[in-house]
Amino acid sequence: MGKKTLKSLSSLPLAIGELLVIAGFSALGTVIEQNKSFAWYVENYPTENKSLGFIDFPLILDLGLDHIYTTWYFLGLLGLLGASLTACTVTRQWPVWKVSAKWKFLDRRATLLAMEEAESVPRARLSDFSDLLADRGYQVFIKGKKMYAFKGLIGRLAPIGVHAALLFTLGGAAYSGLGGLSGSVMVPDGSSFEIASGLTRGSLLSSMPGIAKSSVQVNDFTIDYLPNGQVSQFYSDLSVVDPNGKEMSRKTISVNVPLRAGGVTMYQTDWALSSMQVTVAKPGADGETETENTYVLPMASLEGKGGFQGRIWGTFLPLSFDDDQRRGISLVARDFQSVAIYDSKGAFAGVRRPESKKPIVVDGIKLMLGDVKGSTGLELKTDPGVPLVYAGFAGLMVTSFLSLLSHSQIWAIQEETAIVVGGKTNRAKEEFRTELDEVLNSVPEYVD
Amino acid sequence: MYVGNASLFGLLAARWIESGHFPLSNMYESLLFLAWGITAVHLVVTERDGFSESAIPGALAGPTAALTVAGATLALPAELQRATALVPALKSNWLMMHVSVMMLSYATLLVGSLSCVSYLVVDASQDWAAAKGALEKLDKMVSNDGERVRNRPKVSVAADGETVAVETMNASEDYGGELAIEATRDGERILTEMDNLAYRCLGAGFTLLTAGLVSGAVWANEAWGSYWSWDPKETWALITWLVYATYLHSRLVAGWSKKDSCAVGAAGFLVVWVCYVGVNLWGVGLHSYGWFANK
Repeated sequence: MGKKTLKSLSSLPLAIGELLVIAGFSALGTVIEQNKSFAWYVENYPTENKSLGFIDFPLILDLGLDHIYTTWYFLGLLGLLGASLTACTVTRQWPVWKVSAKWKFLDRRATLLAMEEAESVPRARLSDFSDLLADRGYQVFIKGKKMYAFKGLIGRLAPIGVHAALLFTLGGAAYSGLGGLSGSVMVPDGSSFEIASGLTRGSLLSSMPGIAKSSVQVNDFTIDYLPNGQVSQFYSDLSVVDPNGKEMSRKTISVNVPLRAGGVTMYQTDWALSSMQVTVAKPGADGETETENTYVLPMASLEGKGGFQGRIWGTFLPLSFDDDQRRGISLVARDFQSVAIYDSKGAFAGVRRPESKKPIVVDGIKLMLGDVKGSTGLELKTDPGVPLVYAGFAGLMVTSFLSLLSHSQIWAIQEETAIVVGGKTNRAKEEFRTELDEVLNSVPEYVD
Repeated sequence: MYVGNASLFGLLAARWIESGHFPLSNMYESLLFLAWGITAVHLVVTERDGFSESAIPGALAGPTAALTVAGATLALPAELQRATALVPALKSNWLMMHVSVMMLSYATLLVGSLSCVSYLVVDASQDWAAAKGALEKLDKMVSNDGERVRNRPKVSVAADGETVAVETMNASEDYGGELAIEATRDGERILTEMDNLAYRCLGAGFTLLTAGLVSGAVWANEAWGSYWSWDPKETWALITWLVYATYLHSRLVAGWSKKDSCAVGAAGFLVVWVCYVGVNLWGVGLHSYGWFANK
């Protein structure tokens, strides 16, 4: 029973079928948008007017096509592939390796001449031939009038390594999925958050790392711009602070440069505007002396609201905090570089750079923009599977390159004055033919 | 082919100096790089021992490279052709490693798939005399009069292992000379050559693709915190990987003919293009920089 299962699992057509089915489902997942809201699928795949005549939202949601890469059948397929890999390695690759590692001399002329590459070279000596082969990196064995030479044996072993490395990668990925935690936070410049609050997604098996009770302080968040206004890089200066308030580590992270602490990795992934400082000067009761007030106004994202396209934030300054607070000035910004100001009727009043100290008068109020503060968007993650996955990756890199090596074997016998040569290889057949041709061409000829 | 290769290299080098970063940041540059890669792989492959005898792969690889350049120059809007600055996520040494390995693997896989197409074309033309003649003519265009020069007897062996015919030549007189055995480069020989060429190319391309996927995964893990996120580009690269894995394994299945394997390999040609251009046309996911983010 066990053997039979093993045998059917290691069947190549089955494995090929698995590869193609996984490829098909993967492709499907790129055609149907993944992980959208229920309403999104209802809107885009209505029951009337079905896409291709049969795809509508109940079908998509029932089959789990909205999160195809985490459905039980997709994961099952990957598991099945892993099982096939194991079975194939045990029942096929290993025996093949054992056979090729065991070599023997051949002495029947007919056997040699029946090989893929076969030649009979008159007036030649076996010792010349074997020296030439040794020069080209072959391992040569001679016993009397028989010779055996091979190279690239590792090319036979490497595919086993490829399969093993793939198993490591799949296993590591499974461990990551079951034992990992992740989450994202948006933290205003100057504030802090507890690490545990950023690790919100995980399975029942995942456990909080010891550092989860510590918190992270955002000391500074800045954006570098290119001369043309494009964002060049984001930087967050972070401190990890333990529950007693002691700083454990401090690092400025950016995209591509994360912070690692106690098994938790923090990545710079996003940013937002969080608040704007505004100084308001109003004429006093006597009409001459000004009263100045400075406010910090929180900013909210307006993306997708009221026809706004792209990332944009806004805030609102009431004309008066005493009576009607519905009338006021709107301040809108796309980044830290400029703020557009609209008066209480919604008319465009002007643009100012933050901290430019250049006042603008709107609705009889003199405004001066202060500092615009940002929030840094961090992605937090614990991933216990990474060492396994990386081990698999390293193995894959090495073994897949080694798999390109061709295992070439050459047998030869001395027959009176001639040598009879037979050879075969498993991959580089054309190169092998040429190499053998060249070697045989340079075997010295003995003319009496 | 040499001229095209050299001028594309010159163009890319000039852009590298001008923009100060590796010239692979947008679609135009990467298409040019791909064209360069196709010509380079083709040259390496065909100039190698044993593969220099047929013009058929060149007849497919040449136009593919030319169409790639034409597409890059004519179909892309002018502002996308300019060398631009990199977005933050691409500022990493991994860029050079990941993208160039990916592009090389695409180029190698495309050349390999074209060999599969050649195989299918030659195979299909075997029953059609005119096409067969034309192909064999094409095949001989760069080959030096058929079979390699040999200075030793050619042995033919009958099925029972008995030596039936030995063509003897006076080797000592004509060493390395003009003597060439009458070419027997019939369809069968071309087919074997195409098949071997395809297998070697796709094997190398598959290895490069593996390296590219691994480097991409490691980079993603370092930069974004996840080595695999089912981003469309990643997914299609995986699909490409699976298709070529199918090709490599299909050759081991006893019941499959070489023709079936080659059909899989040829299908890979389309998958590579979907992965490479198609996904960017959708313009979604982490890899959409090349198309939209630089506008």
